[in-house]
Amino acid sequence: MILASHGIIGSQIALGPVATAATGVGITSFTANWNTYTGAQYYLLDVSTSSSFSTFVYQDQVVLAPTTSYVVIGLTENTTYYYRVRAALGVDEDAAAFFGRVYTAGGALSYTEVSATETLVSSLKANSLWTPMKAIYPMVGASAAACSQNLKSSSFTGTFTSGWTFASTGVTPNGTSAYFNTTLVPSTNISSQNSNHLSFYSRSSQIGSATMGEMGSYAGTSYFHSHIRYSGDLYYMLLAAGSVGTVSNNTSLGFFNGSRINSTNVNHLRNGVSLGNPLIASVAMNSYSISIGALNNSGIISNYSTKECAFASIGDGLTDTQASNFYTAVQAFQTTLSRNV
Amino acid sequence: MIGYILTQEQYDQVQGQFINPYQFINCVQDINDVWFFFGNEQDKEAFKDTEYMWLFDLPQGEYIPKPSPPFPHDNRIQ
Repeated sequence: MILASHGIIGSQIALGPVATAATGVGITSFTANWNTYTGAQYYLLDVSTSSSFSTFVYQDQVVLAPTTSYVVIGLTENTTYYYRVRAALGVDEDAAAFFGRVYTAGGALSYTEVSATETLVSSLKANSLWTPMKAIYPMVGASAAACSQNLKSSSFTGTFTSGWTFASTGVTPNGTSAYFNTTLVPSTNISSQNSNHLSFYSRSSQIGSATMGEMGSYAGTSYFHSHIRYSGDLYYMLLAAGSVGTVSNNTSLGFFNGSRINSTNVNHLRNGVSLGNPLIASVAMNSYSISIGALNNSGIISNYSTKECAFASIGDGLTDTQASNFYTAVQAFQTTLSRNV
Repeated sequence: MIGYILTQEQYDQVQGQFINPYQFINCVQDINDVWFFFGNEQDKEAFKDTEYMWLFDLPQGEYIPKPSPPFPHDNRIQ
């Protein structure tokens, strides 16, 4: 028996959507239905064997509006189930658009991922970090369809090769053939050779090989890439760079962010703190799309990495204050998702 | 690392082909110029119902990579 309860209160409304009778009732499945609630960006569906919802079979199942039904599976026969629905209103339009792209692509997100992403967008906007971003890959949803989406806009939807592992903690390339093509080209899509940044949240503790790159592209001596190493080794972010400057580094874990805000230096940050700001004169940016998990060397992918990526971004240069706030926002995001390092 | 071994013709047939809008096939050459395909269990699931599932039936072999291009000369800050 399937019993639909009234929808309960959304975050900014007095009345929730009304759950209606189930359809398609099978031995171990049914379709939950509810009425459209005007203004809802998504719905949260709960299913329980308890009329008081003291336990859950499904909890906070995200169903993107305008869809008003969900097929509930994996049930036990001869059992009474109850379901209820809440509507989410007032969601930031950019966050809602991102959720739409994920679901349209065939991906799905947990409510924790949805909630964390909403908070991330709010934090970025509140700290003047939204506008400088060209591409933000939050790497949520544990699928290629979800992780390929750019949080900032519908531009620069990426594509993964075979050889990636998708998990709730991020995406991990195999180090031999796997890379992610962001389609973002420095010379075309980044505003200025004197204002740019790359960021990469690494969840892998490993002594990097001398030939492993995490993201970027280069052509001849026009570099735009990151290279995270440690253990007596170096870390460098070469942004619009024609020469090399490096900083010492003692871990490959954390949020690595290279930022250029002038023609002379590239600030190397880890977890919002500068590790060094070496002299690296800017040059004209190369015309090869930025890869993640490897480097695009004049159209030939090389320098494959094995570091798990839990966030990456590309955009304009960030000041020290912005970089610090950026780390705070991204780390809060990772902490909500229980994947912070 | 163990991978699936392709002939040149097989490589030409699959390289760069999309199995869905967000994933495509990338093969790499080993140190002896033999083409390799790497696919994990998640890939196997993604390849289901595509015309490229046969890649997972190819003979397997040990992959020894070509040397990656060297990075720019290090210039450590003292």
